[in-house]
Amino acid sequence: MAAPSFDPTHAVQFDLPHGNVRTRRDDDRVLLVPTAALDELVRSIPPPAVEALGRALGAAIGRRAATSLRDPQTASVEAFVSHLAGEAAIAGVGALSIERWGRALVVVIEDSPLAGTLLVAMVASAIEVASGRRARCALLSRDDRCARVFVGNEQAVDRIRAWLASGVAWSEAVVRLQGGAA
Amino acid sequence: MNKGEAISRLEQLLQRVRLRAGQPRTVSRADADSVATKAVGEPTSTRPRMPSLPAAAAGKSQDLDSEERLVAVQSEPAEEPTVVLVAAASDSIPPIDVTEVEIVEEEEEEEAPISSRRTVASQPEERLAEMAFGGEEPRQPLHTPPPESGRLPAAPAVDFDPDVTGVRNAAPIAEHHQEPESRRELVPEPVRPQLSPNDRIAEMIAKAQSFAPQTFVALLDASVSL
Repeated sequence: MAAPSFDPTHAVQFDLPHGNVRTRRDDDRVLLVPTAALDELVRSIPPPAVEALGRALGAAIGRRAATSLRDPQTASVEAFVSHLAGEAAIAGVGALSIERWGRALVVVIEDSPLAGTLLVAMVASAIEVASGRRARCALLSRDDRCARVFVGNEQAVDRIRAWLASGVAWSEAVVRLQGGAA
Repeated sequence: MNKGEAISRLEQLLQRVRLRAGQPRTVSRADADSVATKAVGEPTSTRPRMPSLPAAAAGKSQDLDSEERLVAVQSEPAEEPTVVLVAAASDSIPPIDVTEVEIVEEEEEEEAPISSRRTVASQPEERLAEMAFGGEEPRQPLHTPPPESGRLPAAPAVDFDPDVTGVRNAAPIAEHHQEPESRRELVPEPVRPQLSPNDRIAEMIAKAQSFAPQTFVALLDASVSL
């Protein structure tokens, strides 16, 4: 059965008399937090806390995407990405898309207010929760507009990080990971 | 007649000539001319004279012995000593067999043309005079002398009327000259290969790797398996 298209209608419910904001799908209460405050928080807490924060943000996105997909195991690539990107856009983390480099999966987030370390944890958690598979991520690149995150296992992520630390370009690292020229 | 008889006759003839060589010459001029004309004017022939011929000429001259000697002397100036004998018939002298006698007449040399480079051969009489009294000054060769060496005088300047000669209408000479080597333009002559398209050049060994996951989970599994 084909996955339903993403429907953002009434995705967020603002209860002004009660002063709360809720998401429609899981009826979670959300908080509109200024990005500057979030950045201050990320800079002030240790990395594991940042990763925990990121994973918490991603898990919420993944869960809502899986709910809208109904059967994420059989969802096509386009449908899966559409629901995941839709939920990420509603959460305000940026425009999400994917790139397939051979067999490697790379998630691209544009115009995200989140820091790189927070993005990596968020992406990994969102994919794990939405797909039900265990995944690790490594930040390939990050600039003012775009961030690229590799999705793989723990060993692959470690090799990618080692190559990037030695000065290898992220594209070359992805090629090497698939048995290309060393 | 055998050889012995011929030799004996010739010896008798020689002896008679020697005996008469010391006698005074009494031959008449007319007879000498007639005999000389007879000896020189007749064509050269190696055929022997028949004995009957002297009998025909017997009535013309009474002194045949002098005639024989005169003829023999006139033929001596030739380079080769050729003895010309004209045997005249006589009642007192037996006929002489002259089968071995050869009458030789010198061919007259053609006079060389003026333009010929051949030197003009002197006549026999002139040669005799040169041998007797010494040579005269050498004759100038009858041909054009070679030009003198040295500078030649310039040709006289000639004025031509261009209206008459057509020089004015003629094309300039410079246009007819070939252009110098540096200004000559070279045109390349390309040689291109004739290649036809052929789809058998490439050989496919296996299908190219194609990864087209149907689901996102399949893509995720592939990436995680790296």
